[in-house]
Amino acid sequence: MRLPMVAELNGESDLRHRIRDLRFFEESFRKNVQLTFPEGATRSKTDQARLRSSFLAWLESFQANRHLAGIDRKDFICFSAGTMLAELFRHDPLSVSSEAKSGDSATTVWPEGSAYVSYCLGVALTVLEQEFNLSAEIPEYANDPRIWQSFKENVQDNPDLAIPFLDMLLGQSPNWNEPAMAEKRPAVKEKSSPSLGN
Amino acid sequence: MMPKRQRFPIPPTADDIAAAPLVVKDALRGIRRKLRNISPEITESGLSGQNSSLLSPLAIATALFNETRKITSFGEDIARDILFRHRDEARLAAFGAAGFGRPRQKLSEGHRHNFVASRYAALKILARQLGADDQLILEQPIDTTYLRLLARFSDVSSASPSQNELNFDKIAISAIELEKSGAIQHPKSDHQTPHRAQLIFAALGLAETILNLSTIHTVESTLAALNLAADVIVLRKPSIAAIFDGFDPEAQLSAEFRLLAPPLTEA
Repeated sequence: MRLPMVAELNGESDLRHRIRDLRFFEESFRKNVQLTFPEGATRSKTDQARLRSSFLAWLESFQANRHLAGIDRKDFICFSAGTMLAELFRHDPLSVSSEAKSGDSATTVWPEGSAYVSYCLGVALTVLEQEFNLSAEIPEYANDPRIWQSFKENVQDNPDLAIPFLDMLLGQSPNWNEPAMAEKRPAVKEKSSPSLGN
Repeated sequence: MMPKRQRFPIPPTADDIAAAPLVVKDALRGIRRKLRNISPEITESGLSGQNSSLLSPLAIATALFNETRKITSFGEDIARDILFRHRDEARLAAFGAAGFGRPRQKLSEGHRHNFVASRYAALKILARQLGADDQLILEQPIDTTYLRLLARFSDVSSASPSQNELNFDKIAISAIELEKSGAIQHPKSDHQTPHRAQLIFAALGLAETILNLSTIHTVESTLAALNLAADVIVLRKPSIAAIFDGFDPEAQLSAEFRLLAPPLTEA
């Protein structure tokens, strides 16, 4: 799948703080939409109130869970990107008039969904690179239309399932049962439970 | 026996004397609003085409009233748009600094005036933005609230451990006290939860917090903060309703400002 914003996001120093600024979030989200759907191929519209609602809901979740960043910072970055994706699905600010004719499989199956994923994945990958000098590879199945079809159906039932889906793309252990519970994430549970060996 | 001559009551304190012009201004606002809302029984259209010699004295008076009102409101609108815009902008420039969020060595009479005038100007903008442009906004209750806040914060500010930090609690308390003051009357017909005045004052506090976190203090940045705060508060309606109906609105509103203001502040 395409991640058109990564180069631009990489140019932002300290993205993990910048992304908590509403104006930056709005601007970079719109830019990602522009790059995902170049003019002529499709027409897209972003509802500002819905976009802001998704940001505010994400912010609330971020503040409520940020204490867990101390347990596993890398996992918390993935979780935060996942909750941002879940809120984008929940508020659904983007509408695309027609399916992209010459996009990748994700854009063809689900243009709005692929724009949300490419944005949040781009943010997560850039922050991971800036913070840990990590460059994660996107798995091959991210280009499989069946995966996108299944993802679409699942997220329409429960937007929080976007969190483990993004974990999979980032190579992080997912929690499919209670996706929005940060304390129940495998990485957090592993590091916060007392070691049995000692 | 001749009745005793009535004496005009002497205002008991200097604060009451200072507030007197605001009382007069508010009274005039109330009269102007009542005049706007009067709807004489005979409409202009009802008079058209009639011979003036057939009109009753009441119809003539009504026609005269309508014409006079049209001319005065037209003149008033022009005056407000052209002349008062600059005055309102000057008032707005003081909005961010005229609150209680940042500690101050000594609060002058100028601070009191700036607090009242800037909040009045800001409330007019927020009321318009939140679809309540016909709402009557009064200055004297803002002034009374200022004095109450001054008394309430006098012992707190000296005991505060972090002298230079922004005090979210004081901004939240100010917003809630202003809402209770009656500066914007809550119409009985407004059964929404939260009601519009609550949204307006929550937005006022949020805008003040944004400006206090920012280093840019211009009329433009104040207008931008007010507009953004109004937009965001509308999106947070359920939280605002829960805050005003909740157990400790002051603490909860303070937490809301702490959550929302930093991401809304221009870097």
